[in-house]
Amino acid sequence: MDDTKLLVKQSQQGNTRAFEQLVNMYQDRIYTLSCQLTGNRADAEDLAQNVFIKAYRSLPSFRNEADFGTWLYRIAVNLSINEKRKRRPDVYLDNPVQTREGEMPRMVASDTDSPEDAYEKKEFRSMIREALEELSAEHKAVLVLREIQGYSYDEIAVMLDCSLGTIKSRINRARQTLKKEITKLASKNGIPISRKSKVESPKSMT
Amino acid sequence: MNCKQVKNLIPDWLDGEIEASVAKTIEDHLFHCESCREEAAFWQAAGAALREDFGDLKAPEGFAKAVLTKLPERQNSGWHVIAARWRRGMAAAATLLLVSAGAATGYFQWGINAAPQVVNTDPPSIIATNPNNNTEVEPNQQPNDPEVQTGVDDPAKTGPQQGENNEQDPADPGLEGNSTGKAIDMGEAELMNTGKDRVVERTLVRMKVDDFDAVREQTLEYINEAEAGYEVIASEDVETGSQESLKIVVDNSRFETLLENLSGLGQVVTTESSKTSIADEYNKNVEQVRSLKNQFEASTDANEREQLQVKITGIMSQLKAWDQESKKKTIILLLEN
Repeated sequence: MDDTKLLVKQSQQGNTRAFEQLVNMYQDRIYTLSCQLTGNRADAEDLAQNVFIKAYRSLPSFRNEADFGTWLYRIAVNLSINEKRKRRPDVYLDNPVQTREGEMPRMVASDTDSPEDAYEKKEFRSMIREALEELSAEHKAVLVLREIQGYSYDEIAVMLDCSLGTIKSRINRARQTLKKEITKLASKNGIPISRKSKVESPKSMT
Repeated sequence: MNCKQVKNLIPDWLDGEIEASVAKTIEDHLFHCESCREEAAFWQAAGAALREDFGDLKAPEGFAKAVLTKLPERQNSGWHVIAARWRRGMAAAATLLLVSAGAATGYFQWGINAAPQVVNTDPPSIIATNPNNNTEVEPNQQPNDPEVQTGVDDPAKTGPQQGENNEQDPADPGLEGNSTGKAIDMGEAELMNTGKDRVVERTLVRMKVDDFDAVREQTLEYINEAEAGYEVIASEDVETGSQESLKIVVDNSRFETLLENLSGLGQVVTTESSKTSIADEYNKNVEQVRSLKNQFEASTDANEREQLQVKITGIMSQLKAWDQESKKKTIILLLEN
């Protein structure tokens, strides 16, 4: 039995130390996902904690053949959809990333960007983030899972217990809404969104 | 395929989710169409922008510990089973009710969320007078399917420590208004003392009563007489009868009298005592508050400070409540008819 499955089994039997280990193992991933789902650190921390609390109580109904991480993700998404939005999002994520070693300033642009390009990139990023926050929780969740976490449509369907068709159309609608929001923001702020960069075909994308 | 159709498919195509023949059609179209190429470039940039912001983040310091202090109790020690049986039955009803009775002198919001370690090696003594008394160990968790979207359920179990409205004894100056960094006063120093052994003595009394209203009234009178504090833990009316649970905290000197008085109100089914040390949980929370205070001092962001202060205040209230509880005696009164 691999480590995770063993810890899950022990947790199910009431071993809180084992559960603590599971929390340690998954906390970074769940916290990261929570940041992506909520858009700000304070809500993310609450959400992440609630994920583990909910998981703890639901341990008896968890089938250990399934993947524990995926299950946590599902809890996170469901909780984020059900929670009312509490705080304004941190639109500008230029705050330094908190790591255990120390603080790391966020990279704004690569060395090869001209100042104009760098500025445009930053503005674009802010707009994308802002637009994302305007989406409904369901739409935001599927985009997060697809665009940021990189799950395939099939994987998302399994994770959220929906049909593939439902996921496809949900992602499609989410994207349309996102594009609409960005266009709105762009015209409001006078930022161009058409980019003349080269398009890479999917085969060359990781 | 026209532009509108292609544009619609571009994100899926970028995702690699389009079958080969259709993908070929799209690529051919893009070769010739500037507008659609721009669309594709947009989606690529959008995806990249999202991923860039959200790299791998680390959970904040002390995260795991914070989670552990909030986990619901594992009901596997004697007296918890009885109380738990009732709590489980309260599924639909609120699990934490504050009853405002006319004569009450004030009540505390006490986190019932403590997960004390049973320190006492003697098994709790059970004096059963009713042969039908059910003390079997029952499964201690409600099956809670994560697919059932209930969000943050059972606020009583996950809420109290985080600064939710803490009703304080009006006679007690309390911790409100502590919004700017203040010097540590004597009371606070005592609260933050982790060297103290904090033991909570609880007595569970389960009683059958005839007239709930009369008994409630009388109970409150006794409580007031003893200058005790109380809190309604649960209250339920079902077809077969009613159940109510009260948590009463009383000074050591008044304990015996109060217990005697309460026992006279109905037919006592069970009495059980236990001593549990809450030092572990208590000290965990002290560490947490210390760490939060450091963060508070270090922070220059007004929003962050505000949020930290809320958390700090919440935990300090919890510590205060636990400190009080460890200096007095607790009676859990289960009434049923």
